Amino acid sequence: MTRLAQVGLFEAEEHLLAAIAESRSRGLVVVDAYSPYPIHGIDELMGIRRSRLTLVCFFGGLLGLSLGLWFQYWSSATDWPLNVGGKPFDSLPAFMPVGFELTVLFGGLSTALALLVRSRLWPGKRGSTPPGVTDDRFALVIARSNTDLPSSELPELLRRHGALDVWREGDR
Amino acid sequence: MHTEPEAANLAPPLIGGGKMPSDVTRDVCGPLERRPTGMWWLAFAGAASLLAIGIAAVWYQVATGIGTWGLNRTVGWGFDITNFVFWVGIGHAGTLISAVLLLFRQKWRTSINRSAEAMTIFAVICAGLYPVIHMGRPWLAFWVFPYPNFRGPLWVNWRSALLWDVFAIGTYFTISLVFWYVGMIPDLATLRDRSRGLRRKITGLFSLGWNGSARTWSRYEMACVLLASLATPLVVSVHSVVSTDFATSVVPGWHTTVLPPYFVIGAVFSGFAMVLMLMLIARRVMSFEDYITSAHIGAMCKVLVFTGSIVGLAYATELFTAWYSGSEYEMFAFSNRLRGPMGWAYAVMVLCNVVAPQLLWSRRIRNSLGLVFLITVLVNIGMWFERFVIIAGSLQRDYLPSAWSDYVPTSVEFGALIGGFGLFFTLFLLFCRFLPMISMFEVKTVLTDGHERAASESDARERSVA
Amino acid sequence: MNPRLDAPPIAPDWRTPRRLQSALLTTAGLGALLFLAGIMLQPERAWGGYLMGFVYFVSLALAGPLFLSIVYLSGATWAKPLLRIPEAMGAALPVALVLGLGLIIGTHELYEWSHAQAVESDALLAHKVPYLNVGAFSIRMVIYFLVWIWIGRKLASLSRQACSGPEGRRRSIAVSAAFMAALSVTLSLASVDWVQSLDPHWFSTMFALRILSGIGCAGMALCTLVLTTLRRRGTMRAVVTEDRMDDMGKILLALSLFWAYIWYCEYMIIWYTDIPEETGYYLLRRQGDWGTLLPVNLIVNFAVPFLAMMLRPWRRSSIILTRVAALMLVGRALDLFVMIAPPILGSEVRLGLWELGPLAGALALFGWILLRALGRSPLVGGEAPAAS
Repeated sequence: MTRLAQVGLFEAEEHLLAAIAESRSRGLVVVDAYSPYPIHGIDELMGIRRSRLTLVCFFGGLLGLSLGLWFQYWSSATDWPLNVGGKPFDSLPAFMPVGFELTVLFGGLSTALALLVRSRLWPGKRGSTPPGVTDDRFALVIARSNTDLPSSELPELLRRHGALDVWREGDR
Repeated sequence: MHTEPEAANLAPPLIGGGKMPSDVTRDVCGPLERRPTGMWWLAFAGAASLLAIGIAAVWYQVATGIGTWGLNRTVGWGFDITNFVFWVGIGHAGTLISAVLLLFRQKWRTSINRSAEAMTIFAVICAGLYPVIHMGRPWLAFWVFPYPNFRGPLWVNWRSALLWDVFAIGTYFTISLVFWYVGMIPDLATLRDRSRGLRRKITGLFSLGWNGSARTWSRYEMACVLLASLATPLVVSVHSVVSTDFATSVVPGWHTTVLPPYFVIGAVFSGFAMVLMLMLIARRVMSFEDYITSAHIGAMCKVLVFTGSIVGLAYATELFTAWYSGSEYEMFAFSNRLRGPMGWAYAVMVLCNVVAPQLLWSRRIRNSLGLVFLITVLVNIGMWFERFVIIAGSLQRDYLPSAWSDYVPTSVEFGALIGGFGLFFTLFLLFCRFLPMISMFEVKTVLTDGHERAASESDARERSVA
Repeated sequence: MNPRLDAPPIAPDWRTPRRLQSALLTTAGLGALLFLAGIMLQPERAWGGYLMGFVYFVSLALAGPLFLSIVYLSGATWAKPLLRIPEAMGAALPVALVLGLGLIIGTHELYEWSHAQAVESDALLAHKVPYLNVGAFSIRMVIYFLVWIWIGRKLASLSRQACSGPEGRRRSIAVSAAFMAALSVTLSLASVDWVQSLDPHWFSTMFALRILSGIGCAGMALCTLVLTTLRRRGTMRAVVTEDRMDDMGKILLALSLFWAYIWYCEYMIIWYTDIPEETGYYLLRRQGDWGTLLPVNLIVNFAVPFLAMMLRPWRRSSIILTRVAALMLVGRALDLFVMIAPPILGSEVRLGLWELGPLAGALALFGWILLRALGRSPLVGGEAPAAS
């Protein structure tokens, strides 16, 4: 697919949001937007689906809980039952703290890992970051999906919403 | 962009000085890119010397044996476990600020959460060291983990509260570190894009190729909320587990059912005092007066009054229940606590933890930074004494009068106590030097007037161009 | 321009539902009749039911000012349009005082420490006489209620006037702090007086927190129930949005977790240490049919609400949210039953008209007062939501 994506660099959040809204209403593809901080409400505007990290977290935690409880039970009641302080071998009330900690540990680690994997972030990754978007600039990448809009319209649209600079993706 | 009417009308802005996003970047990154100031070197030298004292004391103790401490058969836990509980508690405010206040949408947290979280991690490091040192043979510390071994395999005792500690502290450290690091990735990318050479390489490695994409932000915010929702019950569980070291025993003064929440609230109290103390220093040393404003200090003072009052209520509950129980051991334990050989320590604890923070009800005192600083120092002293009173004080006088004993800490124990503070402040000063102390991207989200000004300025420019 | 004025007109159609009101009043009357009959036939069981009803009633009434003060202290602006419900809940406190005065008559049937003979032959009870005696019990009860009613009224009226502006805000924060301070002391003692002293030899420093977590769960469940019901009737739809329901669901989840935490800590520490002073409490509650109710209590009050409210679509469904809230209200009754009934009934679980009558009567009375108070003022007044 030869899609000629245009990049626009903005100075204010409002300009970026307005440009996204117009691009979407004109049937353009909003490839991505870049900002120095998370923008409230941009997800709905860009049509980003709600992340399913919650599920990862839940099942990670569930795994931690079951593994933790099972292992405590197995090692103290099956593998080598030892009488400690007259407590029963399967002391469920006493197994809860470690079970809970492992729930949190597994849930948290799986969430963080899933975030990195899904967002394709890894140590030493080199990516193209539009200039200034980690400081105070906002960038928008839009592309044409249908042909009825002339390609010259794209930079025009970006500039109309206050883009400071516009270029074709890959040119820089 | 709408602003909540009340917030705009009444509440003072969270960040002073009419900052723009680029100002935030410059203010926070600036100190990291310049040479350290003389003040920083002075502080670092002080902290490092304390650390050196601690290292020397612990070195001597490990080489010679636990006998270098003042512990005896009756008082088996003294300074070591007091320090452990104290430092775990200090860490709790960091998680509370970063996680609980995130869930409660308290926006004032944004300028202090990063350093509070850093504090958590350093405090947990300090805390974890004491039990390991107490083992006497710290090189065998790995025995606490349930790994397959050739002794049976002999598993660890899952019913022991001390083992729960291993898992609680281990998980707490791991999750706090992950939360802190994940929260720092966008700011590391900001640093990366501002620097060259080695610094760029290092920040580039750790910023994981972050580029501020909206799709990533969306997932990122979800992950932060999830981690916060895990960290909130976690922080409660950690100090609850620490409290079970005492509560699951039969020692009067240790065994009481309210101990888990009592320890948690005490931890939050002492942790907030420590955060406030560090913030008061940091805003001066790093000139962050616009970021850590009197509103932040006021909010933290209110948390201190609130938690301090609950701590006072807990003390009163203990005394009442000791009498109400009618159990002679309970009653003796608490009359000993008040009037026994460590009665003075109990008085220090009540004065520092219950009485001193009540001064913060007054707005005048809240606005006087010197007095606030003094109160935070007092609270830290008081909370250390609380653990000392509970731990050593209760052990001194147990069921068998013939076994009663006194506890006199040695210089080696004082050395280890000092070393903990040295390690904590050394780590904190290094953090101030090398990592962004204020969460830039989060502060940028609360700069509402900054956004509006940017928009109107560039609109004006457009009009003039047209 | 203030965006509030653009908000859609809210709640003009709310009218106290007459049929429901008369049904509630009838139930309350029937409960009272059953209770009076019970006093003649089965006095201990009837008084046990009365105590359950009383504690439940007070819990719901106290939850009102408690929530108001939490909202004002934490500056939770999102909750402000919903405050009519807790304000109305607090209106039941004076009636709770009347119920409490009634309880004084029943001390002899309920509390072992009120028997002079038992005290004489029991050194522990004799030790507690300065605190546990009918006179002090009654005086304390009156003091608790006067403090609650006084500060609660002040808080509700401040909240109803919706004092905004720095001065109003400061005042509501000050009154909220005063309520919290007063409640922490009075509730600590009240939970000992009314419930803990049913097992007069037993003591637990955690006990007041168990009562407090119950107040939180039941109060929030009731608020949720009322709000979702009003929403389904079309009232307050503009205020009780899906996001608000999501928030309420999360709070229910957090509260059920808090309840379970408090329950577990106390249980585990007593189970673990197993010392005779304490362990008798759970010994009684773990044997026979009481032992069956123990896990049921955990499932109803913790497992089900916690798991259900973890699911975002379920939090946002008004039907499921309503059911979870209702379940938590049932759970509160169950929790009170296993707290209060064992020392009265002994080892045998008996749940019949003598227990349920007074309990249902008290709850119906509360419902009647709540609806009447709600009907007095517009449901959404003062601080309407920010348009968002």
